[in-house]
Amino acid sequence: MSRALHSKAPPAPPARPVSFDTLYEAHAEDVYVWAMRYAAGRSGWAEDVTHDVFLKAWEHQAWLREEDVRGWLFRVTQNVAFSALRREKTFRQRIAHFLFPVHPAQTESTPESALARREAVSSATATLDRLPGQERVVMTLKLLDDLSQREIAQLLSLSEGYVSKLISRAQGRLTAWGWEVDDGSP
Amino acid sequence: MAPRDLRAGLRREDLVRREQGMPPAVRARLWSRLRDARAPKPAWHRRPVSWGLAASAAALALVVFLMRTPPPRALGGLEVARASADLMAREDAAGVVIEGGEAALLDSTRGITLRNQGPLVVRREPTGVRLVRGRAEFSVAHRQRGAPPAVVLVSGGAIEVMGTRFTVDEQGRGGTVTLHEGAIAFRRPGGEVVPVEVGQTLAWPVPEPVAEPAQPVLREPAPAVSGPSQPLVTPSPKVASPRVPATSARAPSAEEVLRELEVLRGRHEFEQAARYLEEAMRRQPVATRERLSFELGSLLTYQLKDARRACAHWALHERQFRRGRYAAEVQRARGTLSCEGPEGAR
Repeated sequence: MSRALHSKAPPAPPARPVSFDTLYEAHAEDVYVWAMRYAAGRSGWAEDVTHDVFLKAWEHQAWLREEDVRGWLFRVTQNVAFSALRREKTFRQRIAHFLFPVHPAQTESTPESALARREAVSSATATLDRLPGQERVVMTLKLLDDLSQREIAQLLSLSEGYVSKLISRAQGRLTAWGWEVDDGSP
Repeated sequence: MAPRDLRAGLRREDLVRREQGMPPAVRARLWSRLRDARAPKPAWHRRPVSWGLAASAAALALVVFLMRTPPPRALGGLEVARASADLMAREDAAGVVIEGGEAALLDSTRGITLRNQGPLVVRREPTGVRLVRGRAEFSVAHRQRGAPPAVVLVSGGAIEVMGTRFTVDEQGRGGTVTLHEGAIAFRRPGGEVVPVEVGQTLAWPVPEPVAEPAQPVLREPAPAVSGPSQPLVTPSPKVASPRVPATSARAPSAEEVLRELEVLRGRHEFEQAARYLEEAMRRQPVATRERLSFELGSLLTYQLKDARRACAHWALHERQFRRGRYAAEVQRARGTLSCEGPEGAR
């Protein structure tokens, strides 16, 4: 999250710094909605991400310019969410591997089971929530915000190759679950 | 079933989420959390761990200090200022008994420090420190003029000290004192005072001489030319014998007599001071004797207020020292006493 923030030297302080109260009033809703994309229905998780984002805004408010602040908040939100999901995934994976050893992939053995699975993933957001955290963020940025692989890589301070790999994996899963993922973005 | 378009589905649902927006409760709670996080906290609250570590370190240092500093020991009312590792000491009815090792005992009230030289028994008494038995070196803090002297009690009397260093060897019924620095006076039970000079050794007990008042035996230090030097603190049994006549002691100088006189006056022991002066005068040269005679007359006139003895003394003084240095003062004293004639009152 903070890697993107510190990758460049801080710009000169603006002549008229952004008031934190104004910033919060204007953008709290946007940040919360962005966070909810990855929250898998957990509003508390989205609230925590929003809190962390605005704490960073408080720390950097002297350097924020009014015309760039929305873009800055968007980048920070993606990074905070990406880091939180990665930590969460690691912890959950450890627990899951300990409690439930990995089994071979389930096959649609019967029409009933196939139908049940289809119904479970009938919502596009619910489908996305089934993806691993990093893939979820990358695919959301690609499908909802129409960002290219390069832009996603820059935004999240990842290599382009790694982003490409995450997208390929996610597309494979989504296709298997019966979703069409167009590759219209550059 | 045809595959569904994920992008279109996500955009639809994202619109729905945007329309729902942030619940007011979440907005209020978030704002409250941010306000708390931004509020400046006291410095101690920001670093509780540092404060905890500092407090622990201070407590540890205090414990180490208290463990390293031994509590002040006391034996029979005397502080143990220093003690060797092999010190064997106990308290019993006789006082503090040191059977082995070395110790420095301090009577802080009187400023007396003693270091044992072998086994000894010492006791703190209301009038001073009594050396019951054994050998010890005493150091006494210097006293101001007019202050009462420190007293070391021995079997043969008391050693009065105004600030000095000396060694006492007490054998139970007799003993010796050797003066290293300063000045001390030995007071016999009868009240007679014997000043002791630096380097002198005084022995007790001393039998009452027939002709003169009792005098403890004084021994001069061995002269430098008479062979190898003898240790001052080792008395020769022959010299320390009570049979040695008291006249062998060196006469005290006028300054010493006056100093002792001042001590006695300070303690209001005027009768003893008068007797001491009478005794000391006999062994002084004429020039000094006049001064001491005048002091004796003053003592009889103004402190003892004994008109008969005073008038007799002034008459004798005038006969001995005609046109003396104190003639005017003598006349004034005689006038005060209304002495009749040159022979004094009858």
